[in-house]
Amino acid sequence: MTQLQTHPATKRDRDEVFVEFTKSICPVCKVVVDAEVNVRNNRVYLRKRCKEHGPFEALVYSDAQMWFESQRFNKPGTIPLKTHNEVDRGCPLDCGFCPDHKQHACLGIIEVNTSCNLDCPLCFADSGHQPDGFSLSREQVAAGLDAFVEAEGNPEVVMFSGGEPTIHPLILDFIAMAIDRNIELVTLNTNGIRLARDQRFVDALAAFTPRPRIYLQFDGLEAQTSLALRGRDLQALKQQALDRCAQAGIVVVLAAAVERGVNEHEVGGIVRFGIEHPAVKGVAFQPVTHSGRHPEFDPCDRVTNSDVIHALADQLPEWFRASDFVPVPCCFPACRSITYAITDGETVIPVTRLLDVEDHIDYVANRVMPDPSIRAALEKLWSASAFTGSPTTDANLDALGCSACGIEPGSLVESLSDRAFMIVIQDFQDPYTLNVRQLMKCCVAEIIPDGRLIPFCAYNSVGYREQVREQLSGVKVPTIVPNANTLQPGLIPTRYGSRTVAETGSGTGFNSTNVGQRLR
Amino acid sequence: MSTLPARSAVSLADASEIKTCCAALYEQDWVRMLLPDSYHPGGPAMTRRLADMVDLRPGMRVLDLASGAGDTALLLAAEYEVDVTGIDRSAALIKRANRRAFDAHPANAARFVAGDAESLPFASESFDIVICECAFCTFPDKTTAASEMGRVLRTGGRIGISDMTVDAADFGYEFTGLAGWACCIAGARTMTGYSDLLAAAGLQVQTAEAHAETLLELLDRVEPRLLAAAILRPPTFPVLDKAEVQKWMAVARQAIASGSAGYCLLTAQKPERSGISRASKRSLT
Repeated sequence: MTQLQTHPATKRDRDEVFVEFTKSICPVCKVVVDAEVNVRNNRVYLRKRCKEHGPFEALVYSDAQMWFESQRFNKPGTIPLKTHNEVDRGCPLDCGFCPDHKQHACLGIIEVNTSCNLDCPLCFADSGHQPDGFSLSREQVAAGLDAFVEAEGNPEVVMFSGGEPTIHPLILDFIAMAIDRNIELVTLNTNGIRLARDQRFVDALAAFTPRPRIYLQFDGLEAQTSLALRGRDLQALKQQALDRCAQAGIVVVLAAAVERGVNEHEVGGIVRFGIEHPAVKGVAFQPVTHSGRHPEFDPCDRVTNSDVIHALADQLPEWFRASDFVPVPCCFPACRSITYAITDGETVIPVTRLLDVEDHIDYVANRVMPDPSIRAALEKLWSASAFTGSPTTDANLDALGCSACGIEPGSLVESLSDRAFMIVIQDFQDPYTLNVRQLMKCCVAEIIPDGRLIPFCAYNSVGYREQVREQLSGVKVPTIVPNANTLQPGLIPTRYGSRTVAETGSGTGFNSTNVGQRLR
Repeated sequence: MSTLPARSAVSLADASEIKTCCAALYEQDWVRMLLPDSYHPGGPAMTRRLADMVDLRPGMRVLDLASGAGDTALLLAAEYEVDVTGIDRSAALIKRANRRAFDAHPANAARFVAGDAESLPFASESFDIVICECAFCTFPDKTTAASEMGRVLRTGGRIGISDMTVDAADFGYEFTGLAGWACCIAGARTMTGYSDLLAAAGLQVQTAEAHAETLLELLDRVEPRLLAAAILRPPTFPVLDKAEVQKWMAVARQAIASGSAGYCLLTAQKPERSGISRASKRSLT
């Protein structure tokens, strides 16, 4: 009998499952490139290659199981009344919106300035005490608001941001202009310094009808966290700002940037603090988006939505389980998860324990015939426009409480909305994590005075922020490159504290993709 | 400190009060809010388990005793293709169940009538199977109820019961404070207690399974609802105190952990020949 000769080399399996083919950008030269999503060790990674700058990989979701399950919460988008650009070069270069965009803008953001009374080590807007930025005029803000109204009809939420919007001399006028246009809710994205120091400003905000809401930068309770992300200990100022808001009856949602190794251990404490403070009706956690200015980081070991969700469940096991946080169907479901809890400041009951939220907004399996009134209320609550304290959010919370429980609307002694606390986890994309598939359904838009609505993650990643700043300030702005460990030591600081490279290249990196070429 | 009423000494007045209390309780919207899908522990999964234990076959004639809003009967009709008659004391629930049966598929496979478990308005030997989910404990005169179940069952037919089990004396008064459970707990027996009652009615107990875990799941579902109600205070809801709710829940969990409280599934068969007890003979007259 002859011995069979075995071939010395054996085939090996890949160590990852390939799940998606998409597009992204090179984080260095911002050229559009093909990208793939892979699952490895129960984690979801985005990988891409620029012909000129090489391969890049970033962690986008730390719990692949949760990421897969989130896919079924994806509802059809709504077409805006007006788009600004034609489809020409394709996503993400036609913002925006272009007719290919899959969703309208639930939330519009106007960055009114680049100046700030802080110079945080972490700032996606690359703002600070800078002499060469811009400060929008009344006309520019009016043009932006009009464009937003034209696209949306009756916009739900506009957020004034910056820079630091409270130090813009016309900020109260801007708020009045938004209210005049029947925009339902105006929010102010602030570090809280002016609220803490200027009672007259707080009183002026409280005098508006409807009252603007505050989106307060609040990364944790420990001085170390504040020092690492903001450069100084701001805790006393935050406390003072919140107490003044409580006194004036101004609703606050805390906005926490969560960075690996800095404040992941504080997420439970932030929620506990919020639930106990009378002004606070919610917390929005944002895994740090590595756009603009930020400390050096590892793109494959960043915080993602599932990390925050698991951290909350671990740190507050008496209140929350991971399953209480439900992906948002309005944007791409992996981008945002939300839960609402009923609380009296002491006891906390997630609404997911009272009602099977997942079954009602599962658009794929449709296992139950959903009650249309419950689904409608849930769709509004699980949305980027949701903001505890806004008329729409409150009305839907109350409708939900009633229809879910068979109670006559308006008959509760304590309305659900008065007792509701919202927790949002939102992972905004950056030049490393940008996935065009998600971007095409983004429902958060930067409103530009020239009338464009640019999806927030495109604005921060693709080069729009640099372009707009350059246009509005008249000062040349370099291409901002993420301060990633793998790009060291080639990065050089910009005058704003962010990073760039000496030469962003010829822009021929597109050759790494075969779009536009043919075989023969 | 008060104690539970002695089980053997339920007066007629008490008995009718308990029955009315239970039926009325399950009509309440707030009870539906607490337990929206199914009132009994384990939900549809336990219903299916019980159906499998009595070996339900298509076409069988089934009586669902204390059928409530019809969840069990409609599930059995739809999934096991049996012909179900439900009976309940509450006219309101009968009406709701009939409406649901009308909307359900297959139509006409389930119907509901008002009546009393201790005096069933059915001819003897008219069912192949009698199902009674989480309700036997609420019948004040269990001996009569058991013999009635035996009477309407054909020879060789089977009974499937699921119910709370409570090991007497272990309970303090505070446990009865949990509104809806008061009647259940007061009338509940041990698994052996139920078996003895069925045996006394001439039925042969075949299988018995303990499912205490379903009670813990039920508590996990009910507790947040009770706490939410304590915070939001819906007008149709009894006034609840958060600390009271938490105390009840702790006592209930402790009772389940120690084995004092549990949940069981029991099946019994009506023997082919003889074995008809005096109790069931008496009920025939």
